[in-house]
Amino acid sequence: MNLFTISLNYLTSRIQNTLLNIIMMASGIMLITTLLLFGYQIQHKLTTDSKGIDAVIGAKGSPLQLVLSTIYHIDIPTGNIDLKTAKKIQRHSQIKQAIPISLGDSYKGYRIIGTTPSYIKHFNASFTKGGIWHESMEAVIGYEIATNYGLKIGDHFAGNHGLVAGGEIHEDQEYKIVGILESTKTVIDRLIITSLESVWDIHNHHDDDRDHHANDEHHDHHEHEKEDLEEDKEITALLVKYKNKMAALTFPRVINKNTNMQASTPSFEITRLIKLIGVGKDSIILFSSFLIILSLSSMLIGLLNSVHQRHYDLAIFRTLGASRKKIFLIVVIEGMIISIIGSLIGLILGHLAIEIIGNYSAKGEDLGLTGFIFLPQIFILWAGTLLLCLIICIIPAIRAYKTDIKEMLTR
Amino acid sequence: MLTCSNLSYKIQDQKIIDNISFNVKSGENLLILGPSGAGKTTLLCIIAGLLKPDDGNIEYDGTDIYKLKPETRDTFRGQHLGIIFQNFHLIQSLNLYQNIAIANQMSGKKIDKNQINDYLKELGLENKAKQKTSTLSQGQSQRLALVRSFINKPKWILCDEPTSALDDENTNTLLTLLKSESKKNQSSLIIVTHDKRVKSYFENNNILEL
Repeated sequence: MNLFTISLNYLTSRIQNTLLNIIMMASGIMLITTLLLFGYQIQHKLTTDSKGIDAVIGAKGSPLQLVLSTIYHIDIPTGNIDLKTAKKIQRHSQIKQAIPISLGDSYKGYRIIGTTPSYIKHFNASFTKGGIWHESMEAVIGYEIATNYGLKIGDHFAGNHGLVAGGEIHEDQEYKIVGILESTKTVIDRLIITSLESVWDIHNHHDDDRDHHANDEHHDHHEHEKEDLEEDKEITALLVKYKNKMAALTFPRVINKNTNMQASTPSFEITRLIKLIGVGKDSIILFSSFLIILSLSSMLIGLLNSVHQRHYDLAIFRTLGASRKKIFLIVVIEGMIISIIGSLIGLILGHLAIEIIGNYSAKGEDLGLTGFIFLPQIFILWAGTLLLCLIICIIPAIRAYKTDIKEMLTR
Repeated sequence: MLTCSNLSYKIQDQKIIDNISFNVKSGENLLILGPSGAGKTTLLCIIAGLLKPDDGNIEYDGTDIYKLKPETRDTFRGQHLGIIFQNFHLIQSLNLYQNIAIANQMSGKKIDKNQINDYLKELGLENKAKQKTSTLSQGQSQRLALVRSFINKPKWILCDEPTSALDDENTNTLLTLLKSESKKNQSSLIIVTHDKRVKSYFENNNILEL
């Protein structure tokens, strides 16, 4: 038996109060931990995935929606843009690189993206198996998809219409896997990449089928229409990198004013998004801090009460030879047991919550959230909370230290 | 030998203890008798090294306890003195075993498991060692508190009003037990009380009336 056992025994003898304090402390720490982990990973994710992209040019609509749908693949695109115009932009003197992307289908919730090999190069993704596509309906899959579904080179799969699972399946036009990418910890891990032609083919074929069923006798007319469609091809957006900084100032204005498209700047939109998230985050951090303060206050009151109720116990300890220092330590240890257990539970639950969100929620999976990440801010939060607890414990500990034994004994 | 010389203590200019001197030889007992408010508990606290007198000194076998550093004095108290109170207060958050072991722990001595278990066996409580004190009867609580005071084999046992809440039969049982235990441990028994029934258990030359 030591001072720790004595303190622990006392805490377990009033288990309800102890649990209440631990729960309050754990809740506050858990909320803040979850938010810090979430905030850090979102910010990191947003920055990593948009690295090297100065602007996104797409159909008019919400600029944030355009960025979210074409860079992060977590929203619905604003619409399509004309391929001819897109090609003109690609040749523009201020543009260093413009990667076309075309969205519309998905496989088991993973987006199928029609693009050029430069998209893969942009993410510095290398092949773990196979290589780039050479023909239409050949596809390269990201690391996460290959791992989650055990897909391998030569496997075939049919995409479904729409960007979420459950849409109409293009059963008659299957993709063939020709390449599997290594993990990059970016959005490409969760994408199926194919040529623009594949996307156009699958949708032209789809439209053809509908036309066939609708009106078989207009076959010749339909052939003529198909040629027109070839000229009127569309893509979803262009991911643009400028040649110089000046272009960042002038080029979006030109696009936004003179065309029916918009140029959205990811860095602006991310900052806006983080600010939007930040308001909610700040409110929750404020609430969590309030919870921690509440738990600390409750602990302070609990310890003061316990010292008051145990004056006689403490007096007995003193008569048995305990120094004032020992009495002081017994009370401090009690407070620290509550705060260490509470804060550790909070930390574990916070990390666990993010891990669960990352694994079991579709959006969390998209964002690649993980609880297995250790941030210095969280360590500072933990150490700070413990320090605060220690300071708070000193108040009742001093009261215990000053226990008047004679007064106790004459009661 | 315990030597108390010229002890004085006052609270707000009122003298509670006024120039008291006495000696207790090792192995001998002393009864300090006095009415309520005579300063008995104050005197006990002074003797126990818990309350520094305004004047005078207390020596245990030549060691002036108020000349020791506070921490050394606390250790001295834990190792050489056993203190028993009127209500035999036990620590409710600890089990029976721990209630005895705490005396070893607080005095800085190594916990003697065998000795504790022997005592528990003697009290017929060996099966209740891990139970809380709330399961004990008043008599069992008293005996456990006595064991706690004797576990460090102190040379001096100080008791504050140990019989004031007891009937004659229990007073007799307790005092007989106290005397036999102190004799067994070769301890000196010092009792402060207002209870005149205790007088008959002490020889006249071992009674100090306040």
